[in-house]
Amino acid sequence: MQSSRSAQGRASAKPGSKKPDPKKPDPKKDAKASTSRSTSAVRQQQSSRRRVAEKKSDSSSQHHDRIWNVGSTRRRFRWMAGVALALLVSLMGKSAYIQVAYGSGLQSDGVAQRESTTKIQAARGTIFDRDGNEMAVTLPALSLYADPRAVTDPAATAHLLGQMLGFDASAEMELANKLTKKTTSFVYVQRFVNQDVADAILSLNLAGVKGISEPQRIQVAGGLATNIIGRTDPFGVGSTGLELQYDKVLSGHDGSMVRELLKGRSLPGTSRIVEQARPGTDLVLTIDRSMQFQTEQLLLARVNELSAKGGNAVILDTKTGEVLAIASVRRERNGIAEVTSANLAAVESYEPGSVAKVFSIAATIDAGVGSPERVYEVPGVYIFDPDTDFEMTIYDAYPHELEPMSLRDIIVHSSNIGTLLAASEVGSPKLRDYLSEFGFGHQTGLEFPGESAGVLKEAKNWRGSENATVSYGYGFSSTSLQLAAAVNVVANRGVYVSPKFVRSTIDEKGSLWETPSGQTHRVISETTASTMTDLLRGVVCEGTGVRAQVDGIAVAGKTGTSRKIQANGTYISDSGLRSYFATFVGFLPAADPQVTILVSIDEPDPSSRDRFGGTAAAPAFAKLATMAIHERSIDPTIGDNGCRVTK
Amino acid sequence: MARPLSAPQKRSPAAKPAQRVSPKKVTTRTAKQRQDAKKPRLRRVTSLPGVTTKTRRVVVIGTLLAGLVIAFMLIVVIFQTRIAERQLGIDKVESQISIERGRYDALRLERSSLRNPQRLVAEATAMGMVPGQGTDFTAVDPMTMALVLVSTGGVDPKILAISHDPFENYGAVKATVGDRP
Repeated sequence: MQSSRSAQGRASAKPGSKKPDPKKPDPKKDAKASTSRSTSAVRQQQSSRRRVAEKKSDSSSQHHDRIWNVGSTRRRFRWMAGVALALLVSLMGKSAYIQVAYGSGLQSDGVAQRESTTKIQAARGTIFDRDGNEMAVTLPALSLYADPRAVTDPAATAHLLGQMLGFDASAEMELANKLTKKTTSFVYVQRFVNQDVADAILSLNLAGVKGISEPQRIQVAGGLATNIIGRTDPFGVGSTGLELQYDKVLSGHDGSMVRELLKGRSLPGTSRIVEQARPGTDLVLTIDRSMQFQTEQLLLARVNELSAKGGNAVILDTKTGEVLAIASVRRERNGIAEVTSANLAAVESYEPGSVAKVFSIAATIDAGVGSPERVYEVPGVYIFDPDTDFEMTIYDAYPHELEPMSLRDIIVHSSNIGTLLAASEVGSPKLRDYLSEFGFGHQTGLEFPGESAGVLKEAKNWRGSENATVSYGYGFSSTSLQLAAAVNVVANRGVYVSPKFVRSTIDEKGSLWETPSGQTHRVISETTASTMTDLLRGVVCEGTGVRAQVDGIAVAGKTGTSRKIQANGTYISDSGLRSYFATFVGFLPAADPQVTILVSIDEPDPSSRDRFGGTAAAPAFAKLATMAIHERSIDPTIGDNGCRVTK
Repeated sequence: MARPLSAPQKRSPAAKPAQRVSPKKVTTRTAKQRQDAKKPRLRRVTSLPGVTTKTRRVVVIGTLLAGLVIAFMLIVVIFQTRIAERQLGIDKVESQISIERGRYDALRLERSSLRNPQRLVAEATAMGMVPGQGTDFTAVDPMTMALVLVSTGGVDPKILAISHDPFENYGAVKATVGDRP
């Protein structure tokens, strides 16, 4: 309305468009009339100025057109759009070039500027015993570190930390030296510190001293069964034993996490997991923790009783070959015997001595050239290859005249000469084959780090007396584990089953997987095994192994006493002394064996009567057998009264 | 935008030249005419020069698009905020899982340490116990066994059938939080 009114007003203001009413006096017209003369002159001046200005403008415009020649507004707009488009295209081209030529590099630089990738360490698998008791676990523990660049007073800081952490003077000095080096920003003060001590130190807010959580491998039960579990290095990588053998399995797969940073600090809520960590697989061992502990303690006690250099003990599950306990004791340089962290029972080999008669006699029976009742004329002294370079005088364990001995008598009384006479009928190549089938000369299949295969030469390489001595346990060597597994063949009805340490695994999904059973193969017939079991019962009941008897349950086993090779390469040292390796291997209950047990004592006192397998090792066997009966709830078979004759 | 232009003017009676004014006549108007006279005069309104329908449409669409973009950006901001909130929550839960798993492992370690044979032997020895030195297998008279079973009512076979799998709980926990950071 208002605008229309003004329009109306403007229309009425046009000269000649509206004629004033003559009757009404118009004050505006009167005022205009009075000033008309003066204003007309001003208007003329203004119009002349306007014309001059327009002329100037026209000439400027013409000049501008001459220079740019851009024509009308629309044309100018097109020009501008074209230029803008050209700029845009060149910008895009440059952008594309940068993207193609330097894209990945620049992208990674950008990412590195704003993001920080951290490793998510996979949790290392736990090692359990067969009953689910933790043997080795990984837990977060606090480590203390320092940033030397932030430490204001290295000496004072080192002194204070040394006092709180119980450092000696040299360790304190070493720490002080580390803290003075300003070239590095990370120095460990101490790893895996007790939580209370760490809290106390951190509460002091020492400049540059901080704490960091790290996974720590802890062996439960004070390092029980360390000889097979092994150890990890400070960074959690397996270095010995099963920790080394199964390192990849136990370690799992590390993941990664990305955090966005602002001025070096991570922004909350910006973390994202790029790759999820997969926890390590857990191992369930065949070891029974309780049996392992008792085996270690019994062996240690026996070694101390005999003032021996050391000893080994192995307990196998007869049917599966699972190692229920395995221990090694070694007297250290300080004269104290200790349970070792080295699995000497699988690593060290020695000549088995008379235990090897089990295999020679079994080969004789299995090959069909001998029987328990077959009688051999056995002299007390036997000269092998007389009048040759290989001439060797062989003695029996006890002096006797020429004596008719059955195969039973030969093994029960452990006659060397009787055994070599019987085995000579089998022949060296065949005997060697049998020994190989029993597991000698090659590893058991455990693939345990450092496991020894022992030594068993080809029969063609046997030199001179070796053709005789191998039959009673000299001329080849085996580990305690090999020997136990070999005797286990007789217990397991003639079938060899390789020992195993790992019973099952638990994968990342928590599923339990049984490990494949040990490799098996038949070595001797079931009949031969049964015959041998009967002979070995005789060894325990009436032969050299009577001290291995267990009340109320039949035990079958064999003693062995081997002389150790001395530094001079013979069996007698320069000082005229001998040293022995006393062994007893047996199984029970003889009629239906559940466990096979080996005990060997390294270098018992040579002047003592307890230096033989039957006196040094057999008593320890009896104790271990009793323990196994309790732990495994082994019952005698019906009618089994042990060595007691039923009246 | 639109501005009324000077429409073709109809000369009102008052604007007529004076010489044509005749002696005043008395005119009578009907009620309708009087009513019409009170109504505001309607004028034809046109758009500004150069402002076409197309331009107007472009402006409207542009405004709508701008509004949409702003709305979209607002939604994105809201979503981002929500995602950040949720991420914080997830971080908190994962941290809690990690702490609880550490506690679970610590408890496992403690339980295992308590069941450590070395500790048990020490405790038992302190209580005056000694390990069994021998074995004595005793045959139980079937009649005695039968009498005992009758007097005790026997043992529930369900109880005998229970077998404890030591790895069951562990496996379940590992399956649930095993791969958490």
